[in-house]
Amino acid sequence: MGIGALFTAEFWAMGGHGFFVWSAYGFCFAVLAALALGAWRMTARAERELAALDPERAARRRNG
Amino acid sequence: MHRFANPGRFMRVARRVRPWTLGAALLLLPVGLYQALIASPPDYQQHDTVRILYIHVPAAILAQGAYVLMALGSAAFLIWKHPLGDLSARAVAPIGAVFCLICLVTGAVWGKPTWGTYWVWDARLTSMLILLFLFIGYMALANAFDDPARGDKPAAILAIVGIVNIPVIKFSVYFFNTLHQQSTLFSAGGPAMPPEMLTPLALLGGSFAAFFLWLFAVRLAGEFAKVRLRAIRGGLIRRERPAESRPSASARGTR
Repeated sequence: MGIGALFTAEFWAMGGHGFFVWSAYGFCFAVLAALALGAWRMTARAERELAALDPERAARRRNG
Repeated sequence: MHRFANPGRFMRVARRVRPWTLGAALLLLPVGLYQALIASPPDYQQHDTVRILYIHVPAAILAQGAYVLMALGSAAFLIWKHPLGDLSARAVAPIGAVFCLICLVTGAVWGKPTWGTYWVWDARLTSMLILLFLFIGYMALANAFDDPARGDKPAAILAIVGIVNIPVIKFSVYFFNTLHQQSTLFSAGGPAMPPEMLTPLALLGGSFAAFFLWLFAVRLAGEFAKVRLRAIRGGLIRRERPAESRPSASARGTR
């Protein structure tokens, strides 16, 4: 089966198990995206606050 | 190896690794999804629900790997008082909890059409649920105190004690009469899977592992920054307090 399978109802039905397959994949990727976003925001906020308190360190890091 | 025990050097390496791990995860993901959802055939017994296992199995492996990393970090913190041990344990705990949750939810969703039920109090399922509670317990204990440093030690002890659950998970399918099947991936004679099913599992497993490393590196940087913030703020407060507590000239004059 090629990528064209994406446009067939048979593919989305998953042999009658579409609800189970798509809910599992949907849950998995939604939770991973939320985790990534949360981790990125937490780190960005902490580093921003740190840069505000310690501008010398932030400058050193910017210069590599 | 000892070179990387220096937190500053370790964080520089972790920062450089971040784009590579994210790139690897994003490259492997579409190929793995194509193999898992389109190219691989349905199983003769499980039919299309077998596709759920291509995300369920890597999530289970990574959740257990995360716990081992958390326990090793906690041990390094308790034995050598190494700050990276505590930081890495704190950074990996939510990642492990999420992978454990994914494993439990996808397993339940797979179980309904295959076993006829979402959940049974089976040794493998219950020990995985205990793993999730251990991750949650670690996070709750580590963040239970106003001064986060006070939570480090009890949380580390919990992480080390909880490591006994890892062999229980692994061998539960051999020692107990369980509904969960025995290992098909890490069996003595090699993986008992056809290559067309092993390929999507390996690709999505690789993508998840790379994503795990990226998340770990990002969260580690965040935890490291938080510790430095606390140290600087602590220093500022200590520097400011004597000046604040010193009575002003006018106040002294009125005494």
